[in-house]
Amino acid sequence: MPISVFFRIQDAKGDTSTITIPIPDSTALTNVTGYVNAMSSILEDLINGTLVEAGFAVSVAVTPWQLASPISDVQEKARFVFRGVNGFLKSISLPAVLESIFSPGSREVNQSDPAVAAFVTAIVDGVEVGGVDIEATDIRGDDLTNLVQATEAWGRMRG
Amino acid sequence: MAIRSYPDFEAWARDTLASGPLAYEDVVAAARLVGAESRLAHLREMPDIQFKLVLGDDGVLRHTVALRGGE
Repeated sequence: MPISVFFRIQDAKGDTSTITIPIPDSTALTNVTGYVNAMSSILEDLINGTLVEAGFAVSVAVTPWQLASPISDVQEKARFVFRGVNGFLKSISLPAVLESIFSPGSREVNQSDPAVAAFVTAIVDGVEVGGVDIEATDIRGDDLTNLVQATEAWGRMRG
Repeated sequence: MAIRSYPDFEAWARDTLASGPLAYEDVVAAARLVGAESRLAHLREMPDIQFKLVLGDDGVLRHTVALRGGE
């Protein structure tokens, strides 16, 4: 069973949303901590909410994020859909996402944006931590090999 | 060089990365100069291109793009 890394994001209204990213269960726990810190830095550049908790079963102390922007809204999301090595899809939605990552006049995420590109590389190609490359998986443990789609999405409470 | 097609873009990318890996931000800047910024996602379709993210001992993440097998 893969290790589920999670990040709980809070917006200005106090609403929270959790991002979950599975990684292989063979990952050394010391490297998981480094992975969580690395992914925290990547997500911070994409989100205008604030991080209230990050971890994998137990919380990991990461560098604090900025306070939630007054316009942040965890119901406003970017939905990234990745394909695993066996063809299954894995969706990761980032809440309280920055408006600036979308292409002008479009619902499409601008994949050229450096913060977006870093996130996609982290998921598809992995993050090297302590000399070990850690690649995200789907819930089956399948390596995620490519980005299929990245678009604006809205949470259920948006109305 | 003028980038009018994906083959043009692929040739430009290989030429740009021929001398070694570049920081992703530098690739974006180079692409902007030739009007190819909107085609950057195509780099992920090129099997000879490798993206890499490394968390250094200094805690800084470095995102680079390289030709596979290149220096």
